[in-house]
Amino acid sequence: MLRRLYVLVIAILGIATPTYAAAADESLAAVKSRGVLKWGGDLQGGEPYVSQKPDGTLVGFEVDLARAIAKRLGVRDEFVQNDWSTLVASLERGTFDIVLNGFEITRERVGRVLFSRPYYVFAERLTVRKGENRFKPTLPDLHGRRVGTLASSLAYDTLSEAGAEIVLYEGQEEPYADLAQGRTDAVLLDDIIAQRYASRHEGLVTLGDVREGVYAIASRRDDAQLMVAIDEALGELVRTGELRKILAKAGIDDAREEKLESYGHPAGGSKSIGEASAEGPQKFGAHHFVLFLQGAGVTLVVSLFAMAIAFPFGLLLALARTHGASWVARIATTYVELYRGTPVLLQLYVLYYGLAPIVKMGALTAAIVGLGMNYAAYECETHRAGILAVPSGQMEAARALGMGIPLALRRIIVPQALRHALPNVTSDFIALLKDSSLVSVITVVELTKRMTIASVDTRDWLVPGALCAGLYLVMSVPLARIARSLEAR
Amino acid sequence: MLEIDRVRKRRNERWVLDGVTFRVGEGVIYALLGESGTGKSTLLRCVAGLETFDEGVVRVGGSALFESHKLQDAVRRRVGLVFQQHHLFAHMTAIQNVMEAPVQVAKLSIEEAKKRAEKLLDKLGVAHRRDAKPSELSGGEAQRVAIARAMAMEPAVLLLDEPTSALDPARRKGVTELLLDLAKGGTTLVVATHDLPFARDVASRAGMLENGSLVREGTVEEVAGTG
Repeated sequence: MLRRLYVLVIAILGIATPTYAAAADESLAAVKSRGVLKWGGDLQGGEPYVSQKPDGTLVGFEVDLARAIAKRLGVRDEFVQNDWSTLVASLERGTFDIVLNGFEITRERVGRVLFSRPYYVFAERLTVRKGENRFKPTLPDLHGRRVGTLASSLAYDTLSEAGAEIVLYEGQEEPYADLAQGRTDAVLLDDIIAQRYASRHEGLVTLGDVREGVYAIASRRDDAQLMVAIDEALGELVRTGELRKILAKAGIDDAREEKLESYGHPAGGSKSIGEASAEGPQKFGAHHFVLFLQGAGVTLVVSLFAMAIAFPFGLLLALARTHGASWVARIATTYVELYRGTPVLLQLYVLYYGLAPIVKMGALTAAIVGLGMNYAAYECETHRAGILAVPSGQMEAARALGMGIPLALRRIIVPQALRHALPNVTSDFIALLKDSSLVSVITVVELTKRMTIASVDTRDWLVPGALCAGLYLVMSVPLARIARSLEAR
Repeated sequence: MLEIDRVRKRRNERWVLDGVTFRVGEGVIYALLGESGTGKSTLLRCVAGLETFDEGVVRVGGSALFESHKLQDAVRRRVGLVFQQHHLFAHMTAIQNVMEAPVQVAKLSIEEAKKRAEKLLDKLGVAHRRDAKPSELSGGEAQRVAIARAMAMEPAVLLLDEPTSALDPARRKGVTELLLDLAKGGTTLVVATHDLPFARDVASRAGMLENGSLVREGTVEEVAGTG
């Protein structure tokens, strides 16, 4: 109430910044009194944005830009490392003051954050394998094509609009590696990314540019004072030609950057900010629910098939460890130590990207095989505990009746061991159900990935998060029930 | 016929069996007497092929069954062993326990194996417990199912380790009759026991084990009486 009154008073007095009339905003004062402007970005984005040299110093055109802006504000700049996909969430919870990291102005973001005037104009570049002649770099031509890109990027929006089959990656290198392997039809990403990463693959060529986009600095919605100051500082950098020098130093200055001047005073610059109130966020609706169910389906398929590998393979490993010849047991033990002692994320990367030149495997197959092989190590130990829990007299009785060891294991030991192992196998399966969210790093969109995408679209974590949790429970609770009834038999 | 010829076995630098030699003819019940820890169970396990021994030979019907280190599944089934703790297969019913080896090892049809198992369970007085799990059986019932399980393979030699330890006097009489019956049918039996009255009832020959050696042989009276 008081706040609304204040806005009204400002409006009546005709104070010069009506667009930013966000009441008592001390964001700029806070930064100045602290003497530090904290800017968030992800080093994984690498060159030419922000990257780290072996000696620890940061380099990149955004490092120079942040320094120049901070200088004009009379403060020092400080970089804060943050996962790219959660930059906005971290901005909102106050981890840093601004996002400055190839952050494109997209429909979903406008309204959630305040944007400055653009500091770089880029093109959405379509990269293909040499000899591609099935389509041209236009939106209609991309319909139904398998195209790789990064999550929450302008290219992602573009591809959604075009109705392409989108394959999502977490890093810049992987989309091009997969394209070169023939796993996708094309990659759509910012031209400066394409220049750096596509050129490393011999068989890839640029098909053309689909549309233009801009990078801008983002601040919290309520930090209008800070954004006005940053916008002004950036405007000066553009006017004095300092920005173009920074871009030229990084080797990314081009004719498109002429347009930076025309974005701006006063209409242009505030336009991007002004759009904020016009465009609302997506509502979480039935369409999201269907996507969530699909995601849950993928989670279930990956988990079930991975367990279908892990369970029997783990049993074989356990038998090798308990009853195999010593060299066989040693191999099995090494396998278990290797797969249990290294991160499953790394194993998925190696399997999907590292071994790509040798083993051609689809993403879903790689996800299932990767998780299956990892969980086999855990199932081995679960089964081994079950086998050791069977009294030794059972094996002796079988042997005394003339059974060979394989027959005795199959008929007498293993059936009893499975009963002992069942509670832990159930636990492992539920753990696997949740660990399956890791396969999103190799482009499989399962339930958790679907949730993070939806939360960006709707600017809300609560509803997607609760629905996601609910779906996991719907899958795991009945499973525990079935296991309990099996144990009872 | 069972022939045990100078069998020696070393464990932890000590001879637990030190040159054991004796013969048991066809249809004879032989009682292996002695305190616990003198090597009775170890000798039975060696004869059944569950443990290796270092020297000597075990022969069944004249052919060498085991020569020290070689353990063979094929010959192992000609010797049956009934454990003191019976070791019934915990996940199977009584009749499944009895049918298991005839079906899986002797490759009998399920019908034949079932017929044989039913006959044995009936003879041992536990036919009414055929569908019970081992955990539901009393000690005496489990013992008799274990005997039926060993006999279902129709071994030439049947070894029993303390078969009366879990039985009350009435049941013990039943087992006595059963063993005498088996012997009459031509099976060679070796019974390790320290139950002298029982040994006296069933065995026509006996041997006394002390510290891994057979110190006396004769009738049960001769062997136990002087000791």
